[in-house]
Amino acid sequence: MNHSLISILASLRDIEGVLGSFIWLSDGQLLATDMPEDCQPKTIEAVAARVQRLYEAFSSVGHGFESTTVAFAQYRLHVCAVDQAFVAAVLGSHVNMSALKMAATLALRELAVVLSHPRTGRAVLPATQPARAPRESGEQPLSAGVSRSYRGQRLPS
Amino acid sequence: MSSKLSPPPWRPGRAPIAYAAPFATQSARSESTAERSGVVPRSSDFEHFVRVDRNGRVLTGQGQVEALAGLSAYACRMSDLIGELLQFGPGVALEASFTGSSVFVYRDAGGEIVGVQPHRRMSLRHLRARLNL
Repeated sequence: MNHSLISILASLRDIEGVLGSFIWLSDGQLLATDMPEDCQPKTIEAVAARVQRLYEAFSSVGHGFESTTVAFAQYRLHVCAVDQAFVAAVLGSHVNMSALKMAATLALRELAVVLSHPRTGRAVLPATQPARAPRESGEQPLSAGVSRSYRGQRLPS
Repeated sequence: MSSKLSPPPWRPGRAPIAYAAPFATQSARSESTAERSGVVPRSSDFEHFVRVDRNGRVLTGQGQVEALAGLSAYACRMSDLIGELLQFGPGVALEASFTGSSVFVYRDAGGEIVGVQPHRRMSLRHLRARLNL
């Protein structure tokens, strides 16, 4: 599990009343969790799948989805999204929501940096295109031999 | 800053389920102090609102009723499933925040589902407090 992601989740614990949190990608892949041991990864994945459907339902009616908070009798679940990733925090009944939203904003900013980092981002984000096989020695790239021009003038290759 | 406390037990005890108080059925009620003070929202405070029964039938509504009814019913079901998975019990209310607007969905004491999208000018503080959000 990526240490940067763990530290992002740990930062949410600074807010009193945060019982745990987890990060997953839009394809359902669980990236990091900071949940009590009683809560199994399978459960978290199932929750993530439901939350994502909720997110998609909301996205279908409104523009610029930012976050959602689901309240239960004694607990709450706060979810926010960035790029292809989601962060969920499980909250007790007494939590300072303003402080939590600020912490979540900072966490999302950090997460966006981690995901966009060429090394860590590539490790966690799913490839958008299948990896290409290495070219054989005799094979030329498609652009090879094609002259480039600008406004009718041939450009040096 | 307070020192870190050990987290409370993960699985909650059998506490009575809290329901959000309904606020779209106030026409029949006499005007209370809270209503006079403007704390209780009225239907005119909402751009869109809908009330749906347990079977998904739209009881009342205003604005984009059909879209909000479907969304509210689906969101309630998803929140119930999430609560079931986490052993939190059924969902009580939820808020979805968009750029410049919010949608609130809750289940009232009678089990009917209410979905509202407040006007942008409306302060959401009281609504959030009322729905424990």
